[in-house]
Amino acid sequence: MAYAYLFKYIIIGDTGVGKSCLLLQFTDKRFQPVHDLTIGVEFGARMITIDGKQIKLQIWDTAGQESFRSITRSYYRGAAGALLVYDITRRDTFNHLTTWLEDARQHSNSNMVIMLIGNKSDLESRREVKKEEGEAFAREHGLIFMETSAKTASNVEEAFINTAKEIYEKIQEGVFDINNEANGIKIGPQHAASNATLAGNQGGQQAGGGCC
Amino acid sequence: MNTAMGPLQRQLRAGEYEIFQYAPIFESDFIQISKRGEVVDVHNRVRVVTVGVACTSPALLVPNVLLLARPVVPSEESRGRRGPPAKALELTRLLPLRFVKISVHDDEMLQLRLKLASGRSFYLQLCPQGDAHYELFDMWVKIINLLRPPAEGSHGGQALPGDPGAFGEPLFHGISQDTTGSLESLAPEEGGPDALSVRSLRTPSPSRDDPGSSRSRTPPSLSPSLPQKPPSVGRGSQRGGSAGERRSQAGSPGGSPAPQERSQGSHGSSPSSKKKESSRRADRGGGATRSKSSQSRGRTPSRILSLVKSLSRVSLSRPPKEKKKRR
Repeated sequence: MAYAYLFKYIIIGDTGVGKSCLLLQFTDKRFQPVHDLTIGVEFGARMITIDGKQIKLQIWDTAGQESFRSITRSYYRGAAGALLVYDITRRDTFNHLTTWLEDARQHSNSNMVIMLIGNKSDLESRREVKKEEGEAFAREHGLIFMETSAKTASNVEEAFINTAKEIYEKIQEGVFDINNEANGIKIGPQHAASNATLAGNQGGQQAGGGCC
Repeated sequence: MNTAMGPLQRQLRAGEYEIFQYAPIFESDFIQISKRGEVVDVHNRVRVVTVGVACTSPALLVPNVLLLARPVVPSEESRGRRGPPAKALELTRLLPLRFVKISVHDDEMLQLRLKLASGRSFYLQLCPQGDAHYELFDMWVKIINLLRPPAEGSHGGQALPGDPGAFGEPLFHGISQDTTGSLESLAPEEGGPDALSVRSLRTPSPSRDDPGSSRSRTPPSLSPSLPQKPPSVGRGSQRGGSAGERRSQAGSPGGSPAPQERSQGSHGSSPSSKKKESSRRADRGGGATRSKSSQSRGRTPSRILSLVKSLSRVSLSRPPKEKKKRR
């Protein structure tokens, strides 16, 4: 399907926080309680609409296990957006965020939009990390923040789409050089011709999903 | 001679995945099976998985990642057009070869085993390729030999420091169990043995050394070598001929089943039938010999041949201690 832009996303965070489940919920609208350990990268893709434009999200779900990190971090490059995920029921996954953030910023471009996600919000009774702590961390490091549940699909669409909106706004502001694919943004074939007129084309943003 | 790229490589050429845009890929279609060689699907339909080994860095001497893809179900729009829709693939997984061990599960049935660092194992049977699929499987065997970690072979240091996915050292410390996977995420509802491919591997240019920015440095010479027509190496296509006849004559005096029959038979083949298969193929000799023969007959895509030649050179430097001999 034709698209105006393609955004490359990465999903990062400790093992077991629900990265693959978030991807599956977003792309397939289903929850799989048992998922194999991710090795390397699992890919997903979905079309969304922002400001009337079709945008393809190309999502790289990376392995969270420490053993694989030295390899998978080399695939961060060229990402326009990142979902940095922790598990609200496991304090250690929150404590490791700084390391993940450093890794992400070191191995990708400085303009990458990062969405901090506190996943498993359905498990309120087992919560170890307060929502306010996530918000404070995000504020301190200039991230967007949401709590999600891949199980109930709560905020999953919003997490992916809001990240795309932020990237789109940066494109409009000229922060991203869309002609440099190292920024994780690829112009769709039918949009390349009208690319020059993009600036100033801001308007109300509507987002909707649709599998590609 | 067919020099076409495979559908996965051709699709990645479009550039959606920048890192793979000019990556040399050796790819084939496989059917996902169980450890016993049976089709893993309650609907008794085959699940085709396109498997490719690729180099994400032109400076690498050997492939560093395994790519998995599956056919995309044609949309209503494409179904409405005249003629068959173009085969579209969906890239599903990247497995750094450091974290996956590929081995021959059953060379008679052309089956491979992928064992991941997590301990999960997946079994794949090469899709029927007309008369050429034995040669193709031999090439996979050569690749497998090439991909052995240094601890298993005599060659080391193929990978460059920091290469994503390259196997400088085996990292199978996570293996504590041997479980059989279903590759659930790779299971398409569409596709079948018709979706075949014998694909190419480009010899990387030694002048390029950055896996992430190979696009701008791709030598112009790559473009003219794009295929003029689809590979069309399906069952019973142009590959039929002396290579297959040679196999049939040498390996099946009693009348070996056609390649696709072999494959279909594998869905529920019994151990005794496997023994018969083994005896039929007893005289065929080693894979390298057959591949060499097929090269001389010009029946194999030239880029695969160049790969196999390069693999052969590397393989010569290591002891064939683990190579499973065909009976």
